[in-house]
Amino acid sequence: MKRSAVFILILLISILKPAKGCSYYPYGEDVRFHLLNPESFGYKDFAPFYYTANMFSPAQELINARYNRDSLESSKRMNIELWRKRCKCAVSEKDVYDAVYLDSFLMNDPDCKNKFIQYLHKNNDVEAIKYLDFAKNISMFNSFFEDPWERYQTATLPQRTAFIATGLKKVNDLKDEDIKLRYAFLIIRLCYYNSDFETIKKLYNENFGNREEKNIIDYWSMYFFALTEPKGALRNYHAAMVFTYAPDKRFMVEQVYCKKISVSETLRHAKNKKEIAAVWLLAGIDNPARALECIKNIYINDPHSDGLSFLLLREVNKLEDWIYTPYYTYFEPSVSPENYNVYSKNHQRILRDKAYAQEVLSFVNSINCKLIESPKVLEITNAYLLLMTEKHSASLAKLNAINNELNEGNTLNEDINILKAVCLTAQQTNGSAIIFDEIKPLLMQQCRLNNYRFIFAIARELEFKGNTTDAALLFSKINVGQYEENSLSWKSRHHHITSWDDYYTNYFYYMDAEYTTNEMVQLITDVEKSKDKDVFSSWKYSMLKNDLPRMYDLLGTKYLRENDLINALSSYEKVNDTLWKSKYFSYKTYLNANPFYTDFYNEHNKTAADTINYNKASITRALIKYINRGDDINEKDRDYYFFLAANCYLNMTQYGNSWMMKRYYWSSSAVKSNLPDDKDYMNCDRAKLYYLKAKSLSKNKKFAAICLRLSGRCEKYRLVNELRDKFPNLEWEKFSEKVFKANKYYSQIKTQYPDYYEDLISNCFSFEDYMKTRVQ
Amino acid sequence: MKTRLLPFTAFFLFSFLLFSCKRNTTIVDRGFYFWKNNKYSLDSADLNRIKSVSLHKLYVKFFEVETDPVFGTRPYAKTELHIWNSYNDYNNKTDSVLCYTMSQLNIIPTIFIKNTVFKHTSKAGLDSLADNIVFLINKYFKKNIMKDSDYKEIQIDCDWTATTKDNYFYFLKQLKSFSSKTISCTLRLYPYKYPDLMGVPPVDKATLMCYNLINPFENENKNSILDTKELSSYLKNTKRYPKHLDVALPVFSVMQVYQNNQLAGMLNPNKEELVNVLQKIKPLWYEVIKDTELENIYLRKGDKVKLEEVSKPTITETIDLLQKYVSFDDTTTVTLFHLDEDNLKKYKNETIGSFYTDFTH
Repeated sequence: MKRSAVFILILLISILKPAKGCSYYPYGEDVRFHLLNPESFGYKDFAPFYYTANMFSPAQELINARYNRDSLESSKRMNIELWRKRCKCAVSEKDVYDAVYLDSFLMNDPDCKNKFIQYLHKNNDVEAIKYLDFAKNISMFNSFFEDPWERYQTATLPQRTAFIATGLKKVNDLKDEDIKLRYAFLIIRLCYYNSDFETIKKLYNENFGNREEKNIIDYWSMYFFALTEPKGALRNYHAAMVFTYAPDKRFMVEQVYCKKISVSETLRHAKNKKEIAAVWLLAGIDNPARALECIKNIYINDPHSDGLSFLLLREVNKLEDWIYTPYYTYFEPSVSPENYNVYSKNHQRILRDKAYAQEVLSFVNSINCKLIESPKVLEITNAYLLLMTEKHSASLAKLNAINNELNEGNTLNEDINILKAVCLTAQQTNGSAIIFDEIKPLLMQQCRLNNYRFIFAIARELEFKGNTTDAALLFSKINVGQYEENSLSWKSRHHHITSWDDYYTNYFYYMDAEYTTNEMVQLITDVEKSKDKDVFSSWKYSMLKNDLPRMYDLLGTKYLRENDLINALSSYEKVNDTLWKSKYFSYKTYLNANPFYTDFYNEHNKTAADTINYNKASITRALIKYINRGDDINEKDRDYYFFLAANCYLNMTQYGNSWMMKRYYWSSSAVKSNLPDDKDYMNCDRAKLYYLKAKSLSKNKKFAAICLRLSGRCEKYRLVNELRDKFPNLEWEKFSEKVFKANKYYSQIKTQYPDYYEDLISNCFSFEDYMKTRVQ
Repeated sequence: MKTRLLPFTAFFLFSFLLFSCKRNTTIVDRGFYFWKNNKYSLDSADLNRIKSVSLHKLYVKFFEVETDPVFGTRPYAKTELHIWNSYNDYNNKTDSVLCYTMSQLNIIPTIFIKNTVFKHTSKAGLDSLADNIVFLINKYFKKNIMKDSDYKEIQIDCDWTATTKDNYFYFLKQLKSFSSKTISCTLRLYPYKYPDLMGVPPVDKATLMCYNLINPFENENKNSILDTKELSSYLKNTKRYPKHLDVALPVFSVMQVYQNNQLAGMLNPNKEELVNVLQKIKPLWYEVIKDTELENIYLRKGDKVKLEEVSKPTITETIDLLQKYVSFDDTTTVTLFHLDEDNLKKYKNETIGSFYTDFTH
């Protein structure tokens, strides 16, 4: 009996690490902290490489949804310009685009409405017309098809092979260099999908290999050529050229780049400074860690490169993640760098990353803004780096200057204002942090946009600086929107784990974990005194004003954890009784149980004593009464009242029917919450204290024995928790034996009440019989 | 006089032998066609049939081949059938008869090739086709049938024509060369009767297809699956075919639905619901007497339905005709089309068994 009891106990109690189960756990983009939005800067041609935690799903997916469909992607524009040049710019970009990229017009129709096609017919540009017609006819073959015979990964198609033969003849026969090269590109592309790599190599080397002046046709051809090359420095070199000069191929060609080959090896193939810069650009793009060396080398060789501006911006986004993700949320940065061991502890990591931010800042300060493509990017990255390295005044000055330069409608204004707000809040001293008037409209605006990261940054800065009240009010605004996009998770600074996992998405449970009773009192006082004096105040207090009953309930719970029963009761009495019947509480599910009753084994099951309904206030009131009576030396049933108090304290632990007096979450896999009362909650110290008091005062031998027996039950829980860590691999039978033997209270029963020993230890039904002897 | 008579006599004797020396088969190898491509395994009804007839051969359609404008010749309708992963699956089962039958069962990959494949294909294309077919058969046999075993024969099912004959026959030769297996092919009655016109395929043996003799929409009064008069016209006065012949017989039925005298669709004729909604109006023809929805076809009262079935007497008569007019070797494979319980449920096991045994009587 005793062993099975211990076994059941062990099954019920397993002290584990924070539960990370098999359900969702925030990671990647859910965790990454970011304030600076790369979309605000344009660089759509680099969109797949915006810094993101989704290394395998590029940001392009997100960007495409917001992509300006009227704007032409750069590579297409370059191609259109070549056609316009052929037409001596006599036709518009739109006409060329419509003819080349849409299926609305027939190439062979001289009367068609498209002016580009009309021009070609009018000027008897037969080869161009034939070429465009050919290009449209083969378009469906520009992809891989599965081999229906299942011999190879892809199929070699007879019709595609026929088109290749036709195209090759054109390449050989044509004198028109422009059209000849275009055919060569088309055939190279067809050969790629036909897995004919030998023809690709031959065609490329004969037609493109030695050209000095290259255009988009060269780089498109180079792309497919690079795909056929073996891994090596030359392939990397070609990939780098394609990356820089054929924007539409960037995402694919980046995957061809081999990081194992050193940049210096690849650089041997670069012929001039621009090419050197291009090699460094791809190396930088492919580097999820510190890429300052790449950035510096691009600046040296091609300072006007748009890749330089983009990489700078990206480096700042990385630093945001490395510094602010752990600083604000206590999660690790979303993208782990290659040498993961460097990132062992949050604080040291942040310091190292701030030191790196300083390095980047020093470099940015050394840049001649007249040489670079985007001075605005330079200024903004400068300002943000100043903020990251805690030079708040300088950062603010910079941000204000940028604000003054930008037009009112410029999308960058929002990013600047956000950074300014964080800077203003962060630069305040501890103990005097407030929400500045000038950031109030921004807070409300960003909340409407579900920019919870910004709200959270302000809230955290206030919290860190001691203004926990305003912090809580802002926390209450987080994750309340309809959509899960932008939702935020964060952890407790003091490693408190009070729910099913070790992170929080909701202000209430976070305050449960982190706020002291004093902080709760300040918050409640502030909310109660608040008046809707302006729009911001109405907004700020709106959530908590409606949630005051929950605040009082939480305060009462915190007092109870400290065993401050008077204050706990006072708080509970301010709670509207309907709260305890609402969806927030598990009373309905777990209780209508009597917290003053227990026996040897029952923990969460209903018992015969469950005929009275309690709420938190009435439990606390009754507990105070019973303790007072137990303390009263004139009371004749002191032992009994202490016994009731002990039962209540036991039921308010992990193992009892009233755990929700002290916790808002319960699991059979008990987790150390690291709250101040954890020891009592898990080891039943207070319950044991009162059982022993009851025993010492009892004149009824059987009742005293029960008190000792229940002390033993409390001791059992303590021993399981203590010995579990010491003997993690011991089989349960031996472990339960160990626990039992170590239980001094059971030994005491044997010595002090030998006649009752078997009954109390082995007979499940003895409790009621023994209790009957103690008639109240 | 005697010398002048000698060639005549020899000719007479030769003709007599040619036209009258007909042998009856004494040993029948029992076969079934399996023609479904989306069935994953043989179910208990299938296994029951296999066991009850002590089946020797299962002709499994592995895939079909057609011409596609993009891919050229390509396979489609690939089989998903998995017969067994190892003999152990059946050795461990308690039915020892079934276990034994399965252990002895020959699986014959059968490939249906559309005639159009051979219309304009070059020799190189035909080489490639043969090579690809062998590759895919081997792959599917190992993957789906039996990893550690092998097959002995490939059957090609193709309704070649006089214009595609050369390409088809070239293909068959190449197939034999690449596979090193016994090659059989299906033989419709027309090429059987007119080998001079249609050629004799260069195969090891041919299976005479005694069904689908008529275009189903040509003659409303005839059973397009098997009309014995039609069959008889092909079999009579036909020279002995210069290849080993096996036979395929039909055990399926087909239902055509006509609305306003137009063909509206085909139905599975084995649906139980049809029993109460059809009324016979003349041989092969029924009228719908009650509005009924079935398999996405809405049968309206008054619609006409042509039900083509093959009865036991018809099969028996067919066998008689075959025995009378066709010369078979001592051992012949008789294969029924096809293993599908929906169609077979109208035949008892004994009836099915008799379709094989009647050949040796």
